[in-house]
Amino acid sequence: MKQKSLKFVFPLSLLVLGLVWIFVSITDLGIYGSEPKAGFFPLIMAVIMIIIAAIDLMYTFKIGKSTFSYMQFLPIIGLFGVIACSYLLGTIPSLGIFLLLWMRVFEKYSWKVTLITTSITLLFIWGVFDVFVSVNFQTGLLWKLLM
Amino acid sequence: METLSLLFSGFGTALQFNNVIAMIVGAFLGLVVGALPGIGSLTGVALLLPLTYTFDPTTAIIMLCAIYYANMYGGSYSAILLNIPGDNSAVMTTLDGYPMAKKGQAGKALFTANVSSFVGGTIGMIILTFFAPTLAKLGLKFGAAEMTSLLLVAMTSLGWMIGEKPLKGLVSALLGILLATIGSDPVNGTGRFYFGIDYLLGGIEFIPLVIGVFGFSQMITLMGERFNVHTLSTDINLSYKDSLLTRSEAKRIVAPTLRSAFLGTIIGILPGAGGSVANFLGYVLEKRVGKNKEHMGEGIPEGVAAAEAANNAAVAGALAPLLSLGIPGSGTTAVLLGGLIMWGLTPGPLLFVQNSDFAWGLIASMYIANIFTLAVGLLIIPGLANLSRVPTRMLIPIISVVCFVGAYSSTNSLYGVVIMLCAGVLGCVMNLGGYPAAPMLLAFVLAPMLEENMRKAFVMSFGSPMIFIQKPISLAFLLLLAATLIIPAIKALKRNKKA
Repeated sequence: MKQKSLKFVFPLSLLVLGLVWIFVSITDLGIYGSEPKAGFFPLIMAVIMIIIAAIDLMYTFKIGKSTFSYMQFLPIIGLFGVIACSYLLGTIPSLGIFLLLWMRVFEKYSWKVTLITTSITLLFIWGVFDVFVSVNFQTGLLWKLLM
Repeated sequence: METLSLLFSGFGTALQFNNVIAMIVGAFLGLVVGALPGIGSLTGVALLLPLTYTFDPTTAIIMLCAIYYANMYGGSYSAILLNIPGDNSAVMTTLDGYPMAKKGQAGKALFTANVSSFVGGTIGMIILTFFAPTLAKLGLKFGAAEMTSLLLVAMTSLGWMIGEKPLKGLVSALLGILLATIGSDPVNGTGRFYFGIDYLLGGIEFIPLVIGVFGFSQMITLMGERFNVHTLSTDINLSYKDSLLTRSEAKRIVAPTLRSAFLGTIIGILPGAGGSVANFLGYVLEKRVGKNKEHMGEGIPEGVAAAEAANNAAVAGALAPLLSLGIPGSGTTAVLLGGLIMWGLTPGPLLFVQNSDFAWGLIASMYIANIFTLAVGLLIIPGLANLSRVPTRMLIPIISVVCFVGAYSSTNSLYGVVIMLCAGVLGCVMNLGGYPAAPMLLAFVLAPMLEENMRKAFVMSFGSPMIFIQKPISLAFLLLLAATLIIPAIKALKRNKKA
C-alpha cells in the first residue's frame, strides 16, 4: 500500500491560512475606526496563529513520520460521487447505489447480506429523515422527468 | 416551605393523565431525535412544535420541554456508539464514550450517560426550583465585558484539555477561531472570508463540521486498517446486567457528575451559552480536577459522566431566565418562548403569580419527565450496545451514509455534505499529525460569542479596555485568567530549576 508523509502539510497550511487572514483583514475589512471593525478580531487571532504555527512547524521536524494511504480517499470519492449522482437520480437512490456497490463490489459481501443491509439502511433514512423529520432531499432530474 | 408546597401543587398538574402521556411521548421523541445525527434540540423542538398545536397550553409546553430534555440524553447515544454526536451538546461525550464502546463497554458507557444525565438534570432542576429568580437576575448582570472575560477564561481552559501536547492543542483552537470568523461579521453583518462563495456567507455550519471531524474522519482512518481493526466478538456479553456499573465504577462517577451538574446549571443560565458550552466545560473541569484526569480520553466513565451531567443540568439552567424573566438563553429556549407566547402565556416575573399552576406544573413535569427518560434510556441499552458488534467493513459504508444524511439534514442542502466531507479530511489530517480536534470545536463555538462581546464592550467604553477592569465580575474573571496562566508557568519554572 503506497503511503505518503503528511507531517508538514498541516502546520504549513495553517501558516498560509494565517497570512491570508491577515492580508484580508488589513486590505479588505479594516481594523479600527471609531470602534473595532470586521477585521479587528480575525487579525489578532491570525497573528497569534502564525506565531504558534511557526513554533509548531519547528517541533514537527523532530517528530516521526505520519502516513496516509491512498485507500483512505475511497469514502470521500464515494460520497462526492453520491453528491454528483443526487442531481440526476436523487439523494436516497444515490445513497442506495453507493451502499450496494460498496458492499457487493468492494467488500465482496454476498447478495443476501448486501441487499438486506442496503434495504434496512435506506428504509431507516426514508422513514426517519424523509417522512418523520421532513428533510428536503434532492429528488433528481430523472424523477422530475418521470413526474 | 412555600416553594415546596407550590412544587407539590405543580406535581398535581403534571400528573394529570394527558400531561403524563405528553411527557412519555415527548421523552421518546426527544430520545429518537436527539440520537439522530444532524438534527439537534433546536431543530427537534422546532420540528415537533406543530404536533402540539391542538393541545392544551400546559400539556403542549410540558411535551416540548420533555423533548428538549430527552434530546440531551439521546445525543450521547450516537456519540458513544458511532463517534458522531447526535447534538452539539454531546461533542465531548465522544471523547471517552466511543473509546469505551471500542473496548466492549458500550453498555456501561450508555448506562453512565443515562444515569449522569438523570442526576445532572435533577440537580439542575432542584436549583431551578429554589433559585430561579435569583439565578436569572445573576445571569442578567453578565454584560458584554463580563461575558468577554468569562469567555477568555473558557478559552484558556483549552490548555487543560490538551494534556501533554499544549502546542498542538493551541494550534487546533486557533484554527477553530479562524474558521468561526468565516461568514458575516457578528456586529454589522459585513461578509468576510467567504472568497466569493455565497454559501459561506452564513458561516460554516457547526453540525456538519462536528460530524465530519469526529464521525467521517473516523471512517477515513478505519479504511486504512479495516482488516486489522478488532471487532467485538459474539462471545462478549452485552446484556443489561453487564451494562451496569460496578460499585467502584459507580463511586468514581459521583464527584464528576456533581461537579458538572452545578457548573452546567450556571452555564445554562448565561445568555447564549447552553448545553454545548456546558458539555465542553464539564469535561474540561474533570480533565483539570478529576482523580483520573490523566486517563481522560482513553475511555473512562468519568469522562462520559462529566460531559453528560453538564449538558442536562444546562437545560434546567436555561429555563431559569426564560421562566423568570422571559429571556431565552439559547436557540431552543427561544422556540419554547415562541410556543409560550403562541398559547397566550407571557413568561417573566408575573408568570409565577398570574399562571402559577402552569409555571409550577411545568417545573414539576420536568422531574417526572426526567424519570421517564431515564427509564426509556435504560431499557434500550442492550439493543443499542449490540450495535458495537457490527463488523468494521460493514460499518464504514453505513456510517458514511449516516454522516451524509446527518450533514444534509442540518442544512437541508448538499452544502452541509460538502462541509462534512472537507471537515472529515481535516479531522483525519489533524489526527495523523497528533492535533486534538476537541479544542478546535470548542474554540469554534466560543469565538463568535467572544468577538461579539469584546467588540460590544469596546463600543460601550469608546475604545477603552479599562471597561474589563472597572466591572467587578469581569475583574474577578480576569484575575482568575491571570492565575490560570501564571501559576502553571511558575510551576514549570520551578520544575526546570530542580531538574
